[in-house]
Amino acid sequence: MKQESLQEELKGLSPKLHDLKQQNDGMRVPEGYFDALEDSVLTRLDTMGTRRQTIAGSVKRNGIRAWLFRPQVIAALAALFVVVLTAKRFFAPTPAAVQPVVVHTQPSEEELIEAYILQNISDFEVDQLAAVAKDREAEVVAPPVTPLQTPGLEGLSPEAIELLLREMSDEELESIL
Amino acid sequence: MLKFDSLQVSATKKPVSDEQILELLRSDNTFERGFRLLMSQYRERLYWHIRRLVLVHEDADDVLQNTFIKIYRGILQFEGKSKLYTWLYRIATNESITYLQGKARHASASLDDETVLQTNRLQADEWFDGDEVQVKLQQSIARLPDKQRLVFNLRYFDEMPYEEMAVLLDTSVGALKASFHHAVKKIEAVFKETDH
Repeated sequence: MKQESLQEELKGLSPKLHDLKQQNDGMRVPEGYFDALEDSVLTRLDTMGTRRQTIAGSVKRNGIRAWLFRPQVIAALAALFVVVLTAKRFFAPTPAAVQPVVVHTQPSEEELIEAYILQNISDFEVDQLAAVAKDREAEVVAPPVTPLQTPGLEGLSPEAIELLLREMSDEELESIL
Repeated sequence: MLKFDSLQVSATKKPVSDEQILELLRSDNTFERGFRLLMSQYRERLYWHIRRLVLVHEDADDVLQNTFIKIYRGILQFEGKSKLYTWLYRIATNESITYLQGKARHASASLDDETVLQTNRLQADEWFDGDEVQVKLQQSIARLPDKQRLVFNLRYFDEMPYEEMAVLLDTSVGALKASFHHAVKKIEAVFKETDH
């Protein structure tokens, strides 16, 4: 059908070309060219190193187990095992590098204050810090408070003083205090 | 003369569908068998398509092998949006044009000049024994602009339907018909000119 339509088309367009179409165009190919072509192409692919390496044939013939026990496969698996083992050792953490386990507990009040100061107060001067330190020292070395000096009680023993204080009325006690 | 349809009919081996070939190509285990089938299925059609463009057998052989190597490397990228042979023809056409362009560059000539030079080489080709009329036909075809030459070859020698050609060349059927008619008229004019 397609051929007829071309013939019809050519007949109408150019009788000369229509007639020429019936003749041999003189182009030939060497004997057996097409049969040899497939191997030529695959050989070129081999030379270029782009031909696919198929293992399908050997796997189908002998089964996967036979394939696994081939010396090349065993050698490859052994090499892989050694590489994995070496890599594991190489990347394993050394004792020095072990980080202590941090236990997160509720922070104490002091820690919270310190954290607050560190986060919010950053403009302490060295002099200010030194002054604070001096005040603290002064507090530490300040003399202890002297015992209450009550007139007329000198020379009495503690027991006598206690007895005396018990016998005093509230007004008298207030006047002493 | 080998024709587009007669090749399918005259194939000595049982024809295999494109789908069967592609199925074999999808698996590593059967890839090579599929590729061999593809080659045996399309080698003649592609060869003659290439031969009409480059004319000389030795060049056609080079281009055809390059075409199959390209197909081998790229067949897995074939998405099946067009027919397989359309995709194969496209690769063969591109390879032929690239080959001629490379030769033209080497000879510091244009592609059109190179095609004309190829007709001179054709006469010296041991695999060509056409008469004077056939040489004249090839010379007339060689003088056509690239696109027109391609359309003429696909229609006249391969007898490709316009609809398939439209997919291959990404052009409308109307434009292809017009192109073929122009080409035929130009070739006929050359014959008339020399006949007088």
